[in-house]
Amino acid sequence: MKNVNMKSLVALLVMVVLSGAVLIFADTQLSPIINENAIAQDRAQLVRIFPDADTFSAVDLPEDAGSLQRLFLAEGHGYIYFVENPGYAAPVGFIVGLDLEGNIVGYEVTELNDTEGIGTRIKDPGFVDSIVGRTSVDAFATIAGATVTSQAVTRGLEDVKAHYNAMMGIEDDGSAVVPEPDPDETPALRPIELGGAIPLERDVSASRMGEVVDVETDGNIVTYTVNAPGYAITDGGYEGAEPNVVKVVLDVEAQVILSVEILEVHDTPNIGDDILHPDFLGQFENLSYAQMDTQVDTISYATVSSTSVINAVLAAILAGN
Amino acid sequence: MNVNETMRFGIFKNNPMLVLFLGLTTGLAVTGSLSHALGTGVVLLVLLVVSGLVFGAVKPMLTKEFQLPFVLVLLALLVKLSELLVLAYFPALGAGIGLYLPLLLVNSVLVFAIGTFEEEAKISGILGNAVKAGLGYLLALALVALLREVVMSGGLLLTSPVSGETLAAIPIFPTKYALTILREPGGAFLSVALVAAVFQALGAREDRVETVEGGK
Repeated sequence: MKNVNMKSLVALLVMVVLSGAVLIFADTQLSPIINENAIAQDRAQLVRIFPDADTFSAVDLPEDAGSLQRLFLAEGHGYIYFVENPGYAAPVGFIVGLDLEGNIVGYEVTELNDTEGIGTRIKDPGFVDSIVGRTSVDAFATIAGATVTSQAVTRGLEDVKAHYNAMMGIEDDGSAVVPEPDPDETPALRPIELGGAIPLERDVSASRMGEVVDVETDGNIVTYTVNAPGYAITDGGYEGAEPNVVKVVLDVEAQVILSVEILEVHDTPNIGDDILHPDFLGQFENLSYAQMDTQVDTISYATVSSTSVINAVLAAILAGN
Repeated sequence: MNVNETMRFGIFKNNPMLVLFLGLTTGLAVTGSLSHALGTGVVLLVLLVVSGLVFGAVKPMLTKEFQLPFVLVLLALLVKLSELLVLAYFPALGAGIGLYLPLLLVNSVLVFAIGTFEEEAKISGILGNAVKAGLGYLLALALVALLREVVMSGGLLLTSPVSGETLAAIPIFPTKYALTILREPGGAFLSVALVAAVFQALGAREDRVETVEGGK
């Protein structure tokens, strides 16, 4: 030890102590600013999930966090995950908030460029309700007909569950089953686009004309079951394609359509089968066909399928006359 | 070339990154974007000036065996401090450089350019060498980044180090002709090698001029 230069040793020790002091001071001064920077761009969304929380702070995620992009702690309230997964056309981004007991308290789609009317169903109240209110050990159902987009959400939720449960020490035995959609519950309807009104009575080629297969008469009220060649037959050219089946109830005396009901639809899912939509079918109710020029709307993006229903109604009217 | 000569840094001759190949990790990592490269270069230049000043002032007090430990503690302090300051006041730059900001601690340019291993004890000499090394490194980062960003993206995108907003977008050629390989690590090495070759040639010319002048 006697060879050690005391002046050098003191200088080094002073440097070490000084460094520690300066860094502690700098850290206490700067970390609130750094934290505020980290949450600045996400603050608006964080507040929507936990409106009562005052302090948010960023939490580090592990390297292999999968679809998890960012994680924030809402002091005393819970955690908010920012998640992104590939969707049908583009990445699907959403945020999920969990309280400290593992209940999902918020879900919001932040980025979505998938098909309007299909992929966008992950924003529907029905789907939101299938997530919010559940817990970190529940399973989540996808949307039939919008599988790819909704899977981006459910797979992301699995990543959220795995991380959250590990962090909070919650045991997930994986026994949760995916809930079956409630058959009594009608799913939230997305709006359809009506357009291109055509007259009810007009010339229709034989290949597109409805074919009456069953007639039930009850006084003036006649119920026709009509096979209507839809898109699957006339344009789709699918092998073994079947016609749509339409039930038309007419008051032949008053020349009024009482109701139109679709019994079977074989056209493209999410496009042609929008002929089931009450906005489309509703326009036939109590519609008088006494006038030759009565007009009805087609569905603008499902012209062939909706026209097939109109042709079925026409076939019933002609049969009634 | 003896050790002392090697440690005299310069812009072309003995450029720290492109001739001596010091601080290559940072040089490869941050040169995907000119904005990030310039930010890193400026941070390193400031670090060199401040650490050169402090070490230059204290060096006469230290015996040789205490110089390296002192420099390491000093650099740890300054690099951590610069990381906190960048994250607080230049968040977009901090997010862009990421891990390579604290990694500046082990950037060998810092350790060598403030004269840790040299006899030179005058503060002016240490500072002069540190500033030259910092400018040389900044220029090297900028040139490699310029080459990489233009070739791999077909243009330049200058962003604000504070907000990350685009300050200027300069399209140079259609993106369909962009060579995305320069985005990859292999492309980074290739770019450094290309720019280094030019610097070696320029440095060699400087050498020749000196030899001729010395012979007069």
